Amino acid sequence: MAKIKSINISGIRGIKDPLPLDLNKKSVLVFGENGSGKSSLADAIEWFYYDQISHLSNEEIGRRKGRDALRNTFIPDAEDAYIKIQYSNDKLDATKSIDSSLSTSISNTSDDFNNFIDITQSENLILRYRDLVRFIISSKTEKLKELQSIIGFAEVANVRDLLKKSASRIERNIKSANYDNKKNAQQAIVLNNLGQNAYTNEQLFAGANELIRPLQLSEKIKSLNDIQSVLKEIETKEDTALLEQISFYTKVRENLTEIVGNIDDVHSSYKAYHTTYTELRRAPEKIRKLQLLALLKEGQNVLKNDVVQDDYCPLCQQEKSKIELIKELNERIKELEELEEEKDKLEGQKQILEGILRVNVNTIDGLLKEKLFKEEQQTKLLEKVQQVKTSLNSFSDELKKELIAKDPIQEPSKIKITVLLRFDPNI
Amino acid sequence: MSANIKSGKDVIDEFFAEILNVEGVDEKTIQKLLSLHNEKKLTDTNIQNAMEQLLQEQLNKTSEKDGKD
Repeated sequence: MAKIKSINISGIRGIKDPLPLDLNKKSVLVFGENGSGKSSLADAIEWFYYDQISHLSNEEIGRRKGRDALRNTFIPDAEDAYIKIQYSNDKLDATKSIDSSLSTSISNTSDDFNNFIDITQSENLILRYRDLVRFIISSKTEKLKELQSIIGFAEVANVRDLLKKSASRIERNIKSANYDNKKNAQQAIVLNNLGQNAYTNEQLFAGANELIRPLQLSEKIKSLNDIQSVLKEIETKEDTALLEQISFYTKVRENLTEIVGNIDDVHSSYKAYHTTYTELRRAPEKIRKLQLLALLKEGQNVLKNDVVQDDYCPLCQQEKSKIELIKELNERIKELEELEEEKDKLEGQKQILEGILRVNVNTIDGLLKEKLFKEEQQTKLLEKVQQVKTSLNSFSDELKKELIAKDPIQEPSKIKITVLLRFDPNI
Repeated sequence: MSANIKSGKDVIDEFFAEILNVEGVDEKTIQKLLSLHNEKKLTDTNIQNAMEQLLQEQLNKTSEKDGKD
């Protein structure tokens, strides 16, 4: 294991003149008055290992990972600021410098040193007092996050959350596409046409061959392509219009069967959405307060990041213990976050329902493109299909209503998908 | 004892090394996730795109197969 023999710092943060520290491979405790340079020492070491100073890496104080605030302002431009670390293994000795144009350089570019830095970066070397205080006063969830970050498990949590998020998105998509219903609708058509169920291609071909047997055709159906050629063989010119019509009605029937199969899903999803919506509307003042969440969180950050040093509230300027203030903020934030969670649930339910509605409206839109709808004799059918779309859209309209709107969304019993078409499977 | 302590990165690497052995997983999905992980590109958008691409590939294959049948 490499141990530090000595550290030499010059021109970094509060350390203007060279500061040699002979550690002689031992652990040391550095103590001193405020402003004596303890943090500058930690900053220099953090920069050496991580190429950044985390508490300076924000827009207000220092951009470029804290590099802007790294050099001591009183050192001459011609002089480099540097930190030199010597180890028990002298192959690792290195000096990291930053010049007045803020470009940095490192004296050791060997593989040994680079590997050593890579390994070191996977550890947490710096734990600041402020981070400790932040941990003590943070909420349970935040504590877990902080702990994960301290022991280097934040990455595991991130990957887990990422995979969970992807899995639930796929689940939502499958639910909205409603493949089961599509399959059932197709099965119903097969059953209706063949007089029997067909779960495999072979069963379908057997049923179709049975159906065309009286026609005594030259070929039998052995593949999906054969169905096309058989259809061509039995089709005559006079039949074209009739076949077009049959295919049109089949499509209308197929699409509407699909939508009828989705009705229950739309109604139950809307009912769930309505329940959460109504529950949340019971506390309108809290919903309004949700808008304060961002402000409260910002306040929490201001206090945690020591922007305010003394014990007073930065907003009302009244004297108050900083710890108490943070605790109070945490409680208010926790309450609002619970409410926000409920609101997120509502958003999730909304997305599911929107997904289902979108699939159905797309089906109708696709259907409406059929050219036979332009014919006069199909006017009534066209109107009916359009009515289905209108009733689907009425659900979408309800979903657009705000949570704090004057009038609530419609009761589930008062809103329905209307398939006014007298749906005759033998149409 | 120190041999039993794993870093977060070790845990993730081990997870991705073992995931193919989990019963019932879809091999192609896992291969996509593995390659994203190896390329250090495992992000929400990249997963979403990879899954969409996989779905399209599968759909194209199914329709080709139906055509040949």
